[in-house]
Amino acid sequence: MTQQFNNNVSTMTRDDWGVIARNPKFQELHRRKAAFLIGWWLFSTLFYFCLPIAAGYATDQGSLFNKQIIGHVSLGYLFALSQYALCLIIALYYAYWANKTSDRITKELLSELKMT
Amino acid sequence: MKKLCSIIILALCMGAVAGFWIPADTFAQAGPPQLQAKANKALTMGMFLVIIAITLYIVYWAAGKTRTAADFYAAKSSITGYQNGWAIAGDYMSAATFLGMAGLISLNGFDGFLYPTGWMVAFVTVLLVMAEPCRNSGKYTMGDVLCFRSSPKPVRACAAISTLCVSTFYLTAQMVGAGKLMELLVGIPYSWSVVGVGALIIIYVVFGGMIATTWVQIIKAALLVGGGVLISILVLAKMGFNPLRLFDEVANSSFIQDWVRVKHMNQAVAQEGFDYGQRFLEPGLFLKNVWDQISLGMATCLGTAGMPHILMRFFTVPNAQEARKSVVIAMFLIATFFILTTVMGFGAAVFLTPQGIVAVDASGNMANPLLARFLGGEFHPLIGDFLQALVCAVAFATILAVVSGLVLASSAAIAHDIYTSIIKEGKAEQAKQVKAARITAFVVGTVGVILAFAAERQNVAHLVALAFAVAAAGNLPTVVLSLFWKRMNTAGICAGLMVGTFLGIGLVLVSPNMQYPKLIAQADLKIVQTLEKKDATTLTEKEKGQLANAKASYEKNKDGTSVLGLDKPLFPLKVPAIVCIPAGLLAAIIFALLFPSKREEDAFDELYVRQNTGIGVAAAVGH
Repeated sequence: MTQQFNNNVSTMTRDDWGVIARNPKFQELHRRKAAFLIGWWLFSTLFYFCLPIAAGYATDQGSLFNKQIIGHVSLGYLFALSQYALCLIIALYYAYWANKTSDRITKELLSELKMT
Repeated sequence: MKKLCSIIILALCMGAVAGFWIPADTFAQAGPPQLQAKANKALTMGMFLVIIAITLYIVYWAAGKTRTAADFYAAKSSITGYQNGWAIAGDYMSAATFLGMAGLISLNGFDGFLYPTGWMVAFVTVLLVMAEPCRNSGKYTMGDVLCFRSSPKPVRACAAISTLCVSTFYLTAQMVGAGKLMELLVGIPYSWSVVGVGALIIIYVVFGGMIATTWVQIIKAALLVGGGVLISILVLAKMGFNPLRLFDEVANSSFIQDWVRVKHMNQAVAQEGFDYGQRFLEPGLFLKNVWDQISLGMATCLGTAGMPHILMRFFTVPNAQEARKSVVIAMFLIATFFILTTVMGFGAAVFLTPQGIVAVDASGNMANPLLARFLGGEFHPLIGDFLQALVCAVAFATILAVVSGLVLASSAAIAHDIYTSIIKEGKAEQAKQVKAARITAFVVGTVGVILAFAAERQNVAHLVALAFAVAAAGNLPTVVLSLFWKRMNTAGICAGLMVGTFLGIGLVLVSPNMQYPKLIAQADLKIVQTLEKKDATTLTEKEKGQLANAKASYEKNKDGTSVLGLDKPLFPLKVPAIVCIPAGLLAAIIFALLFPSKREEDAFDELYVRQNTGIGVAAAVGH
């Protein structure tokens, strides 16, 4: 597939990529991205698996999961709905964070490397 | 569109506030309504023809623009993030989502709402882990991403096998579902609808490639969300736009109370003080095994990010920013639709009663079309017919969009990964590549139709869970590890893909999804014994029939074994994900460590820089 890249990229050697990888700007990008992505991914995934586990053990009418909060809407329903809310909040927050942080660092890195 | 969405949300919020002051009048009914299943054939066929005409025009327009492999597989990466968001939603939400989920909710209450949550949460993984790195490091297929720094031939071959397995399972389930739905909805015979759907999809993909597929998916998503919003508004209008009242009506409906008591709890007499209506709003009526539930959660939550037809959509946008935007938009569309499904499902349960819905079709798939007919019929019978026809048309468009996405992903795996990259070693001309892609699309579509005929009488529901389990066990770990782990290599990728794929298939073959004649015979024996204990003269006609059937079935099944010659399932769960995901991940890591490759480790810097920064992607796309 390399033949389809422009000259600038296709003439780069393994060492050139290594230089970028060791660039402090790239290191910063890598660090901040990893922290954000791993943290939020783990949080949302663990939060999700609480739902099937809690629901699986909450077949008793008196349990906390089935406690009626607003009218006939139980805590379990609100918990399930909160999954949707959390997903959308993470999506919006990630889009905001990425525009503000990772896209900016990438842009700075590329202009430093004169690759834009 | 954004304005429209905010107006709808505002109206719902205001309705909820206003609803607090509106006194509730109950929807008391004398008996379960007699529902008519078949839609108005002329009206429905008319709508189908409109959809077919519009999509064929799109194909005609797209065919003129499909000249190179980049056009065929990735729409020249010229789709905008906004368009791709709608297309992802259209690619992802199947007819099972539209009809099946509303049916599940209308018959099983809370569990029907719990079931799709994993399909939604899955998009966090897609957004955070997969979308942007895949856009930055791949070209047309998952194989491109995987073989960036590994030996292309074995890796592409394994990726193509896994893609084909996942797509074929999902495709078969969709095609069989399509045939049965059309039979039920409009009364078109199974074989006709399978051939018709197959022919349309082959035309879309062969002539229009990714450009036509994308627009079919966008139109379908718009129809789906539009139809869902329309029916939900009609349901909520009857509730004074107060969603809370919908819950009250469900809990207070005497039909739903009876349904839960008799069908779900097997109680002939009501237990004093037990709230059967509220029980409908609690978990455990449909998903009974905790471990099955967790396993299904893992398959859906992690499998989506490994579905080849979803991954392929990220190659249609020009850069990582657009890929990100498209996932966020798709997430909003999917969340909106899933939440509206609750409104539709509960609306069906309240207005049509679960007893009325199962009288038409035991699976509950007809809940939504029947609800549309009921709601429209309140105004005028013709409007009822029209709305039911509209729902059928949405289901039809849904089938077309999802299956064409799958056919395209499979044909890319064969034509791009196997033919162009392995057999021709990447040296095929553009015209030849496109020709190969078109031929494979035709073959894959035809095979889909043949499989649908072969599987007509089989239970295919477990194939969907299997497809997601294989994608979660094989595709996701290998793609993530090769993008983020320096020591990942050819051995790890091939081992991960093969273990994930074949362990998943193997476990399903020995799971309770298969038929075990000896278990059926045992159940029959029980019926025979209980009925024979009774005095023969007191047996009713119905019981006599039951006895004869059970005896015949016992004789037929007592010496039989499952496909693999088993008497009872070896693996206790219906969804294999909980075992095969860790196994696939471990196999990938262990084999990567056992067979280290210096060359591939050295190439990690390039991949890692590219997938994070997108360097080189503009040039690759612009070609």
